[in-house]
Amino acid sequence: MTCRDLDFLPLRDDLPPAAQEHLSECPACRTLHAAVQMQSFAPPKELNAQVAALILAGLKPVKPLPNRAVLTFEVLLFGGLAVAAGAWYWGTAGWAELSRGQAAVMFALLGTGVLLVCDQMTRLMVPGAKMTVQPWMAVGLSLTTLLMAVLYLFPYESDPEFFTTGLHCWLAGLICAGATAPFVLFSIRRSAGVTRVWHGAATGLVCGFAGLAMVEIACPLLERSHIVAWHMGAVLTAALTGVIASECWNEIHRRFWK
Amino acid sequence: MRSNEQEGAAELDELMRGYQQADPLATASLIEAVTPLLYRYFCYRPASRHHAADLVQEVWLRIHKSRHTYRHGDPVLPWVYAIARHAEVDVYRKRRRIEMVEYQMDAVPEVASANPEMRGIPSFEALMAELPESQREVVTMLKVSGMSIEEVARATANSVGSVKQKAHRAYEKLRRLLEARVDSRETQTR
Repeated sequence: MTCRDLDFLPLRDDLPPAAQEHLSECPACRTLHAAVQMQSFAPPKELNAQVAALILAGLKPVKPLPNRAVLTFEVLLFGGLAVAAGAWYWGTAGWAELSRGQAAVMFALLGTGVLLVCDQMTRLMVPGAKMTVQPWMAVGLSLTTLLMAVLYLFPYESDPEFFTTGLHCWLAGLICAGATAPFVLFSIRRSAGVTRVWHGAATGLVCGFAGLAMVEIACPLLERSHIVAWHMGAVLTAALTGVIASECWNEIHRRFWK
Repeated sequence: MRSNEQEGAAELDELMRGYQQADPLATASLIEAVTPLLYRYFCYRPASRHHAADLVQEVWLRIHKSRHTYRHGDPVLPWVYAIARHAEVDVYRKRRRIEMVEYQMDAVPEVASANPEMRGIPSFEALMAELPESQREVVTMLKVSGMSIEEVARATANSVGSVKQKAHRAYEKLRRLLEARVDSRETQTR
């Protein structure tokens, strides 16, 4: 056993023989081990009783959270319904304009991004959950791949009405995202809320992706800068709104409810 | 040793199940098992040491509110420590905002007296003060709370690799510090 192996072991009395042997041979590890064990803190005797009185007084059975697949399905269902409603209202001209390749790549990436972010969102509901991918990585990866795909798949054309047509798409995307948000928030209402900022970003992003999917179906303007600035802009705005809303909620909670 | 850890984890999982079903005996046993761990964790954190008992109660209130989020089969300790970390940050911010910096001397936890053989070795707390916050947290969970690398990774929302790196860097630094102090002591005695 090396010093590095010992670093990753909890220092308990029942150390394995290899660790004890290393301690007897290595003065640096021995000194460190002694320093860790030298200090011990005993909790006040009445603390357990105080905590028990606090907790046992209002003890009621609770229903554990449903599993992640159920929560993900709920979110996907609500998102899908919002996209369908948006497509019914704004039409499907964009879907008709998209080539098969463009539609396949865009919607496959959107679907993967939504699943990845949904997975993160449902994991973040539970404190100390195992994270397969870091939240920032999931958010960054899903947005970067979409951006690369748009840059590769769609041509650039100068558009004199860049702002007027774009603003319309951006608003439509945000309305769809906003319509999805209450349902997504309903699905995750029982979250423990220990990582509210990431939760806000993930929720905003899922809603933003619903908005993006709807705009891709509705908007016939297949031009690179338009899609990046206004369609994807709606996703970023939704994610940012999620972060700001969660920060505000955090602050209100901290100031007035505790 | 591994089987002892697994037995302990399974026992905590059973107690959590009882707690979710409002079983008072299981809840009392869970409180008995977890409270000393939380207290020790806060005592090893310089910013929280003076309020350790209050923090433990605050964490228990949050555990109580969030008990439905525990999923059977998952390790209990990372779940508890993730809530504890969050509570600690919240309480610290609140205290700082309202500038309520009152240290009650009677509430300061007792420190076990140093072993005479170990005189000259700096206290663990003094050593930990030399580390950055993220490394200090990992070392406290790993060495004081007795959690595994995977459990620390869950509790701190980091990857296993990142926790290993932090622990290794922290221990390299601590070893260097200890060696330097031992060397300076030897020079003084000469």
